[in-house]
Amino acid sequence: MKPHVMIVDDDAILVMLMRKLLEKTGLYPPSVSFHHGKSAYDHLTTAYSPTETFIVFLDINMPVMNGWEFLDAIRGRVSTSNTFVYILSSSTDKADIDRAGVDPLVRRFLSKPVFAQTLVDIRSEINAS
Amino acid sequence: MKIDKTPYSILVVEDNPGDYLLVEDYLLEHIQAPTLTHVTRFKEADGLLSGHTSFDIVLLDLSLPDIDRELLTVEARRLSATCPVVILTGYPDVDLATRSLAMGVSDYLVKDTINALILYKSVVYSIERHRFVQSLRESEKRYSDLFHLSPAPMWVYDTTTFEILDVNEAAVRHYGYDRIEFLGKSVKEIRHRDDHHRFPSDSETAHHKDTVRHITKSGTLIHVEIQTASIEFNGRPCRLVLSTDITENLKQIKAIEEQNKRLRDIAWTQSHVVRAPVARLMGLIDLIRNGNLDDTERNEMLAHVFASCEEIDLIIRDIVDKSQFIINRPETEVP
Repeated sequence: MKPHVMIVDDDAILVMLMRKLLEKTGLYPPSVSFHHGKSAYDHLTTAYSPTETFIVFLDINMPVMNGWEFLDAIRGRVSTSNTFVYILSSSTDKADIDRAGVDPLVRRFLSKPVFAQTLVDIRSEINAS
Repeated sequence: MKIDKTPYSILVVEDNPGDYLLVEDYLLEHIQAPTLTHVTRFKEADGLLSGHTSFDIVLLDLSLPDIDRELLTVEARRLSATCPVVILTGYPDVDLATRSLAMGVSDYLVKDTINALILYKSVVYSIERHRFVQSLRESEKRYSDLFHLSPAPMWVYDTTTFEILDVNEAAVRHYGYDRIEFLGKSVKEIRHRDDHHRFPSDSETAHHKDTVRHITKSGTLIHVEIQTASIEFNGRPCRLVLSTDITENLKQIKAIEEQNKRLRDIAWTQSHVVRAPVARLMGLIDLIRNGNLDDTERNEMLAHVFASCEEIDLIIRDIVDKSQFIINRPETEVP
């Protein structure tokens, strides 16, 4: 069964780039995108099922509900065995990287932009687990 | 007994020639070469003592023709502030003797009862005692000066009544109340009401440090760091307070904190805001290069590239403005 892919980012161009990249590399289409954490939270909690796989590309700085708030909201409601969160950030701030590193829900911290190779790596990572 | 070789300079005030000769004889018996100055009137003695001549001791006859005995004891007291005075008298008057000694005269000798040794001992003891008392006075004055002339505002208050018992010149200068106004006040009156609960209790350590707000005479609120030590003052349990005005320092710290916030803003901008369009550009260029785009898609991507470049341009201008604001700002300026 194909995994659910969610792109959560308020930057429309980066969302477009991410979608194109997922399309062009033939990885996990189709994806759904959200402009802030709240709509992504609503979608995830509605669509969530313990038997399916969820991949979330999550931006940090967003209006309404930012990436950290989104993580706190889904904590305990989803399992880390089938939900893979990748932080996508334009920040190279050490504080953000450190925070992502200690969050059990976060698989990896990705500094924007994401290139095709990264997505290939992620697929192997998810298939392996 | 050995002859004392100290070259004492002694002023003898004696109008009776026989008595003077006796005193001279006694003195020469134990002192090798004293410089003796003999006058017969109080006025002459007073003139010499207030002039440039300095004496180690004055031997003063109490019955002189130009001054009565009561007045002379008062004058003797004045003279003894600078030079030890030994009174020589023909009359054993215990009352007067006691009073004279209480007033600062070094010794009170009855002529009939003295001999060379008694006189010698009195001279030497009086000189030594006077020297000791003088140095004690100077030391007291030094300590008093340390308080009164200290450049830092200081005062002493009674820990029971909070009454200010002494205050130095720096406190008068800094707070604007004159000495009399200060001494009529309770320390609570110069401290902001909200800081009243912070007076150290008696059980607290002898030394206490705190930062509180004080009110000057002009009504200005100042932030001060106070250090206090418990002392006994005129037999009452008191605290000595040293106050350092840190109002300016606090203002400067506030200015520095504001400046730091601006620097943090710049750092944040650099980390987040600048990088966002750069990341977008990198992604767009990667797509143009490796994405197998058709012409329409390619043109669309190039339009996005240009928009991102414009965004970077705006951000850089903003950083330059912010940096300029910090660079052009004098360090001491307080907003």
